[in-house]
Amino acid sequence: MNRTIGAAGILILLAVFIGVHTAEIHTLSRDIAEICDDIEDAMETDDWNLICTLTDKLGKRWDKSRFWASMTIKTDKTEEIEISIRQSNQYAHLHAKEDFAGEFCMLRHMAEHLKKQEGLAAEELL
Amino acid sequence: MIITVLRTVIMYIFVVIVLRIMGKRQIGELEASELVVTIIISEIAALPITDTGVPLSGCILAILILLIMEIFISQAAYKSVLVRTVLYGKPSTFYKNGRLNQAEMEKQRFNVADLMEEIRNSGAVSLNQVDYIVMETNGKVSVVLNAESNPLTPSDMNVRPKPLYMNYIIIDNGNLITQNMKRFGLNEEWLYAQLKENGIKRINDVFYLSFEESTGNVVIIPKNGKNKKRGASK
Repeated sequence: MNRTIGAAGILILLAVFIGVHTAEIHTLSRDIAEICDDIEDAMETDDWNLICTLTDKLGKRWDKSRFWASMTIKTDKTEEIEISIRQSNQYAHLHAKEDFAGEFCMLRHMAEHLKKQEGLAAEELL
Repeated sequence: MIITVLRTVIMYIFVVIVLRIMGKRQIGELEASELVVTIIISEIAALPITDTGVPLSGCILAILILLIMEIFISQAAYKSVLVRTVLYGKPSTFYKNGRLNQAEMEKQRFNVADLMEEIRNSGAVSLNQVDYIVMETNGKVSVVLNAESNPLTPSDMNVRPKPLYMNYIIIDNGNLITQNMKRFGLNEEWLYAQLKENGIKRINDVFYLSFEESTGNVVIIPKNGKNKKRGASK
């Protein structure tokens, strides 16, 4: 019976952990999506100063939740996102619009996929 | 490289703890569901060790889920006959009252050579010496010898042998097991008296010291020494 109580205790702890982790990843994904929307708006007006500021913000926001993200996402995937953020930031500083647009598009897709990976989608399950 | 070393140490400790929590069944005779859990755990545990890109926490989480499921399911099987039957199945009787159940043998893919092997393992040589042959739910085959083939026991001869008493370890390779001393109300004074009688000064010099319940017999084996055996009073 003690073992069952212990297992129930672990189950509760796991449920809390999974809940906190999922919430953290969803918040990260949402914040990144918001920043990306702002970057897209800034791209339309070619406001590179704002784009640089926003890509910096994007990097800081990612760093804030990096610990939680790397708990369930493979290291190569997290590194891919980090490289993409840095590369976007560099292109923004160089005002290389075409290169930035390509890199940014990939970054956005990867960030959007984060939520799917942590969510309960049938495609991910299967 | 140091990450691999650390991950290996963490996973080793973690898996040992998990198997200890799962209980003795997990390291003894396994039922089908227990075997599956054990195999999956070993596979999952190996993943983050061999591939440092795989998150350790994800694997720990998966193992913990398996641990919880195994504990809940085994608890349910302990309480419910239905759950037990669904999960572990029923024993298969291959031989009973002189009749061989060939259909059951075919179902379990248990051939005649297997049957004879199990008969020989039980100490018999033919089916004539056997009453029952049953395959248990964990895959182990029990062979029950008939009355004529069973070894003679003291009760057959109307003899009452002296009962055997459990021996408890008091010193294990220089380590004092205080729990066993307390069990019989033994104290350090008694212990040092035993050591002194055997010419031993320190507990650390004793390899083995046991105390027999009821008779109070003590067996002392010094480290790198000769076995000294004697009876002692409490």
